[in-house]
Amino acid sequence: MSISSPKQPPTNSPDTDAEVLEGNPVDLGVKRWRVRFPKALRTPLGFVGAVILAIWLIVAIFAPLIAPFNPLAQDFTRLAPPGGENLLGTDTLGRDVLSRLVVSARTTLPAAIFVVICSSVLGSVLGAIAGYFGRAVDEVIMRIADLVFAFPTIILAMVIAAALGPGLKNAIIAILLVSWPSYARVTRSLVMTARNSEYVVAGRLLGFSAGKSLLREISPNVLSPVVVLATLDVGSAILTMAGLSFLSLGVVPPTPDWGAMISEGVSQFASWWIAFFPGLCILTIVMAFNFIGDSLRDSLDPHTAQEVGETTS
Amino acid sequence: MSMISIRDLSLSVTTGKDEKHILRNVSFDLEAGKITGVAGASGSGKTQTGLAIMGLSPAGAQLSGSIDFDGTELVGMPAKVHNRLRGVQLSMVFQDPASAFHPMLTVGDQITDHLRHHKKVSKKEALERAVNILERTRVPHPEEAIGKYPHQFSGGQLQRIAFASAIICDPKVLIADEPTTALDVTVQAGILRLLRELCDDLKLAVLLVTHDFGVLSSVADTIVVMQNGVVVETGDREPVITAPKHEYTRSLIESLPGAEVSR
Amino acid sequence: MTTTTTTEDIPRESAAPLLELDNVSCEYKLNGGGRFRAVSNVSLQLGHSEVLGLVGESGCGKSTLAKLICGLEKTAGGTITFESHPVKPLGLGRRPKNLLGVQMVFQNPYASLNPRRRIRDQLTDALALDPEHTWTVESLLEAVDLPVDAADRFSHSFSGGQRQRIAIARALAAGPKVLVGDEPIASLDAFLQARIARMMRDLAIDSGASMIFISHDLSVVREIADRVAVMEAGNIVEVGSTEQIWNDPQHPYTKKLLAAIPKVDGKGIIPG
Repeated sequence: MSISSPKQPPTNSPDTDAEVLEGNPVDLGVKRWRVRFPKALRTPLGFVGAVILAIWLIVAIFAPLIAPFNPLAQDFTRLAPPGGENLLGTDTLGRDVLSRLVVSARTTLPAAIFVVICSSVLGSVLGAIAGYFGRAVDEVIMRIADLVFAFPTIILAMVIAAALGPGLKNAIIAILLVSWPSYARVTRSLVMTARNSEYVVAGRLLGFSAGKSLLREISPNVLSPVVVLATLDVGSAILTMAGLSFLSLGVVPPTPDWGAMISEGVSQFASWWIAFFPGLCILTIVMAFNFIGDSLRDSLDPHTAQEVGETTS
Repeated sequence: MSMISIRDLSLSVTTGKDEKHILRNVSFDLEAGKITGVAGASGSGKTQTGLAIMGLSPAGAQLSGSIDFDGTELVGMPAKVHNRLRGVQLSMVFQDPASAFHPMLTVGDQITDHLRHHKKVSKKEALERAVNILERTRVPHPEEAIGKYPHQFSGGQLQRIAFASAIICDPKVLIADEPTTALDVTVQAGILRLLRELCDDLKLAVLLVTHDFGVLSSVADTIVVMQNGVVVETGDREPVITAPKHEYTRSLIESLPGAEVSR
Repeated sequence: MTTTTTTEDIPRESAAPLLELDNVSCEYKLNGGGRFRAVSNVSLQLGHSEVLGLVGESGCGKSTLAKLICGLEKTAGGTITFESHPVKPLGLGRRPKNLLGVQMVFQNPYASLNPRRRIRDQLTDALALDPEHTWTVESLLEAVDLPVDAADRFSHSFSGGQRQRIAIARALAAGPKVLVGDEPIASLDAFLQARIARMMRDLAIDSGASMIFISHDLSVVREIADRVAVMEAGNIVEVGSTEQIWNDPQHPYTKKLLAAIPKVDGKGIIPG
């Protein structure tokens, strides 16, 4: 934003600005959301993340056009090294690694994004209810969340996925079940703080019901941290999914999947390319989401945001 | 001779393309044994003037002009040299006593920290000194007080402790930034009396920053009125309050509840 | 004249008071297990078109009293009645319709407006409550001396004094009968305090409401209140007309408060 604000130590000194006796509002000329959202991606890392993500999305959308060969066809020499006809080599069954990588972006990316959207919605709704109503409701929801927290994420996801049987759908359910509590916890604490703030109390005095107060007054103030958390979480969802596939609990062969490919490559130590390239794919995409998440956080964080928004003299 | 002589002090901060002038050609003096009150609305630059003397201007701020402290130039002084003055020769008391102290350390530790750092005295000596100083600032039961934590004191007592901390190294200059704003009116009088005493007895040059003309009328010797980073009026207490020359000063005083002004 | 109030100075109109507090107490549980009596047996009455100043130092229970009146705190005894409806503590449900006539302006202008909603939306919410449609967003902003285009901005582009005026506008928009100001001027510059206080009085009285104005600053209260109640350690120690409290205080605590106000006379006299 355009206002220059020196970093002066936060004093409690009451009023800002020289409006004392005349009183024209300080014109910033800009609106919060409109400016900050694209700006968030204008930081160097945020930009890099956005570019990487855009490339991956294009790859996922146009996978059939980009993939040079049929990812399932076992047409080639087995374990051919990168270079030559198969740019990234072939796997143990003579399938083209590049084609498999490209096509598996189509399963992994949408699945990860879907899982994160579902778990963030589920988690934040439960967290908001717990935080707003408190008492017994809070106890029940948060104790269940604690139960999930008590196990390492991947192990619990494994147990659930194993119980449900392998398959992409079950892997998604498993990840959903283990990842909602972190959203619930964050949302709960945000709602608890917001609930007691004066603007929410003022709304209650105007006769808002609990639902209206949550939706109108509280949710706009809780949304941005949850969005940031969700962005950062896409990366870990991809990792967990890859982990499940690695353990043959995720995507069922022969459907191509990065995690499953790594798992396959582990036993073929000499043929490093089988595991290396899917690993690289996971690395880039997790990094991309982390970069985006970080720069979103920096620009939406109430502390940095306030520094920009406030017009301290 | 003035203890501190500020001449044409300007301060600007550049963020992005904008350059914001916080102080423009501010000039006034602080005399030893006198309280100079700086009045103005928030945003008038009164706090920044105090911080500039302390060498605590915001990062990236450009200072120009001169602050002469007893023959030493403070503007452009290297941070290391300024650090050696701050807390020893130049000290400060803030508005909110509740947030001026570390909540997990005892009062005794906190008010002697800078004494031990700068003057290299032993802990035992420092604590003895602390007891004396707390007595001086009228904190009840100083021997017990040095072992207590900030939350065990009321706001008024904490402010007395803050004054003790400020004067423990025998400073020459004391900057008090709204020292009574966060306090109840009945406590305020006691703090103002303490400030007056310390100033008279220790020959401190005091800069009292406040937006309250009631406070200035009680203790200030000279008054500087600031508006938007500019000094609009300087003068002795009584003439400034009873017969303000500048339109802005007049409007500030007239905006106070009529009851306070005795006409 | 201690603890309870005298009833001799009930406001002019003979009808039942608009708001009545009868022997109201409030207690907080302390961490150590004990109880702290924040408000103790307070009886007060507020008449129609009247401004009552409530004065006391920090921790005297005046803010708790404001919360009790708005139903934001549970009483530990006694009754509060607004237009003959008992004030019940606000739970998780909707606030009862017949109590919506009591509205509040809070102390901290930086917390009392929603940072993520436009001023217009926040005022519109309040306007919906007033069946008589006395105000519009524009007329409200004009009434508090803000430009009309303020409606489409967010609170962060306003200074503290401006935010407080918006908060006042929101409270007024609901068409309150009783406006409770809980230290509404305490965090503003001295030069703004009297102006905002007078604005609150004028707007409340002009719209036919009464006001309870809570402050630690007797000199501002004197400017705007018809009657003053002085509170000390949870008790109302003195109630009287503003003139009487100012010129002829009875209770030693009131005298002490008055004596501590510094005079702006340039004489260099420290009060007290």
